Amino acid sequence: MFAWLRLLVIVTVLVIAQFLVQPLLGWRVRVDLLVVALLLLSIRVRPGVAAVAGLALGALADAAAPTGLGSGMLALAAVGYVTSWLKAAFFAENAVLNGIVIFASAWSATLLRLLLGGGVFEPGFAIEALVWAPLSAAATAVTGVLLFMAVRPVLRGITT
Amino acid sequence: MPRQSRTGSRADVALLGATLMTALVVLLLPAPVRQSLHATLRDTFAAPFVSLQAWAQRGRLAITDRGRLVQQVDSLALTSAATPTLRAENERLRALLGLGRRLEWGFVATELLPSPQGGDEHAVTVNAGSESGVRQFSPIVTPAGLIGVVTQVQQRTATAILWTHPDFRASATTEDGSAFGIVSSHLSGSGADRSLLELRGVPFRATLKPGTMIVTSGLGQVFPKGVPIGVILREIRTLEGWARTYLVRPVVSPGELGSAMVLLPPRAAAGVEAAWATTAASEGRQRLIVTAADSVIADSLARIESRLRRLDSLRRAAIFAGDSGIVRELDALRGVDPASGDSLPLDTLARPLTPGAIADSASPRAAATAPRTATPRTAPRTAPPPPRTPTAAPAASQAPRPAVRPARRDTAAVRPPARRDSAAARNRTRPRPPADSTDRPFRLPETGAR
Repeated sequence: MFAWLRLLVIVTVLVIAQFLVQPLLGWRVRVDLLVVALLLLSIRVRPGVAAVAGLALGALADAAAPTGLGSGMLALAAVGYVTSWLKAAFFAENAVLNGIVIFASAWSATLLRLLLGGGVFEPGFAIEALVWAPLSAAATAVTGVLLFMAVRPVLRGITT
Repeated sequence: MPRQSRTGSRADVALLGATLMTALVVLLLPAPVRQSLHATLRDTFAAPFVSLQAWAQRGRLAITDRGRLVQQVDSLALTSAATPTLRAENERLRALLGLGRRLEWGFVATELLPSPQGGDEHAVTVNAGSESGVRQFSPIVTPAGLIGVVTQVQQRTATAILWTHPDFRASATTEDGSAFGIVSSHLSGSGADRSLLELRGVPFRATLKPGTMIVTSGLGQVFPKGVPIGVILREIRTLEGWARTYLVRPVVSPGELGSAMVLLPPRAAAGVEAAWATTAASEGRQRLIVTAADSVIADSLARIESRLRRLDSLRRAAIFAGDSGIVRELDALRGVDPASGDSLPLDTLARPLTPGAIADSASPRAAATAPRTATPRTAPRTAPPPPRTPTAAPAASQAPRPAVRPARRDTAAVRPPARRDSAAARNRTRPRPPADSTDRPFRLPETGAR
């Protein structure tokens, strides 16, 4: 029970950090803490629940963004479902494997947002999709791996 | 089969389908509906996060803008520091343009460049020469007035001496032409006085008041008539007993050197009086007002001082004569309170301090101490003078003369108006206080009183 509470607290902290730290840093390469929070949650819940959580986090991300309502919802719902389905990879406790999954999730989420948000026809789409999005996904992967390692002892005992 | 139970349940698939359908529906909504839904989400569900994001963005903006704002403040400080100089230069150039508009033709706008280090500090280089029509002895003027004269001319430059140069001379006159003289530099002056001028050779009968504007007379054929030179400050003592010499403050201060105009010979010959008439008149009037106010104040102080001296001498005389009553009255007039010390209110000084007035003021006390046989003097003073019939004199003059003149009465009858007039004239010339002057406040004399 308390492990679930701790998980919710950590997810909430990550969501707050996403809206607080990202604008404060203003870096071009962005660490997507929403994806990290979603992965942290989705590997511990059923895929359907993970999809709903992704939808909620996506709605939050879309609401904070000036345009593209719905694209983040769809992207994060899909990512949540898939990562929940691939949760065996996380339980392997292999940092590299975890990093690859986080990287793939973050990049695919960004690509889905760009595609569904109508960014295909914008001039900087290719650079954004092929340069900045992978770099951001890599930064997210590094941060996610470190975070997973840090919170693993705290969240031990949560099973689906 | 635990894996199948985790991933393959129909509920999960249904939830996935529902979420994807929801996201797709939101994505495919018409733009206005999407915008309203977006706004609703921002105001409700995501409001705390949106405000958090806005706060963080403002914080970052403040951090990143600090350096830019500091640079902006620095550049503004630099700009504001240069503003007075630019404004002064702007005004100077505007005035120069105005002078050019009034002159209309026959001048060359130029810059006066100071002599290099070690050169003649009273000479300048003019960046216009014979190519521009500049000739030797061409006057150099500014909107304020005369500044110098060209001495040497090259093809593209010229050398000029300023009014502070020992060789500078200009035939000058007052604006009304009442006095003439020669203006030269004040060589005996030191420091700031060195930049003053002297107006020499003014006829002894011509007394010039401080503030009188001095302009070129046009007599020397070098400077055209009517270019302002300076303003009379005061008369100075010189060895020349046959003429007066005045100290003149030039209209152009040494710090105003920069842009100027060289009057070309045809323009100087044609006359330039109209170019400076308005400016000189207004500035001259302004200076006259200031100088007159200074004179009034100085005059008042001198009068106060002389009255104090007279009061002291009367007091000494009274002490010498042993009249303690008059001494006390004098002390009261001077405002000396034996208990509080020496204080002199201004209105006391307004009272006439003639011996008669002192005696009058002392008379009640003297009457109190003197024998009672003394006649009180209040009656003749307070009583109005006997009425004079204006027709009496004409009537007397029209009366036939007797054969033998009884003399003085008839003469007085014939000539009273003249005698009264002369007496009145004497009274006017003699500064006497009015009868009730002790009750009036002290007033400064009129400007032309002296």
